Amino acid sequence: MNLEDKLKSVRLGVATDGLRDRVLRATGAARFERRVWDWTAAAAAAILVVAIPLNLAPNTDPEPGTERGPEANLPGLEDAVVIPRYSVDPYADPAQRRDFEVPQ
Amino acid sequence: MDLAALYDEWVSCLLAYMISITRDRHLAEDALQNLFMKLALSQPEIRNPSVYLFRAARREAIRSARRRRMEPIGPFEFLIPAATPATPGEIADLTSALGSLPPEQQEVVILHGIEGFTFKEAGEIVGAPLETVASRYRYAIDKLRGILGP
Repeated sequence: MNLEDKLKSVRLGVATDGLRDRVLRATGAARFERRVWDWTAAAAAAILVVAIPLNLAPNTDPEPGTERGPEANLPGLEDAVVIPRYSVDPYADPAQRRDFEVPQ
Repeated sequence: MDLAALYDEWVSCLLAYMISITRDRHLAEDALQNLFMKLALSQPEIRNPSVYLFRAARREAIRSARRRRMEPIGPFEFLIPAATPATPGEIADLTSALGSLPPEQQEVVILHGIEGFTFKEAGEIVGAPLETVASRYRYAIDKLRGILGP
């Protein structure tokens, strides 16, 4: 038998016991997972297609006649006085500044 | 594409090829599973299954080996009797002689001399020009003749 025939008398191969189920199960699961993602994406797209023309997004515009927006109409807040934080500088008053003087 | 039929026809030689590249059976099995999962998801149009599968298997096996920081490829030692069967002694001699070649020459002998791919197909699988593959094969055959006789 010459060398070429010797090479043709063998082939690559190895036992694959137990591998078939594992591989085919994994491919089936991967396909199923992909299908679920596809369905989810299709459902999300369908919701957007319906929601955008119907303008179902929450309205955050100020109520007519108010300048502070809808949150100002919450119960109990009608008379609330809003003071901006740090609008009063405590160090500007000399009487208060005395409290912080280091004793001699 | 019938994945189960593709698997049944090619798994034995693909796994042997991938074990030779990764030098680790478990790593090769994981790589084979990844390969079939990718096939299931991408559903490619395969014209020449043998070349496509060997090329994809090689790429997947090398990727797995590199992830483990292993130097991939070779030795190619998973030979089984073909249709005109060799004796166990002849297989052992051939395996041993193949093992004395550099990995890239072993791979070309496996693909062209044993698996029957043309030089062009073997080049597509290993990602090398036809001339490179052919010269690797010539060098390999000269060395094998020196070891095994004509």
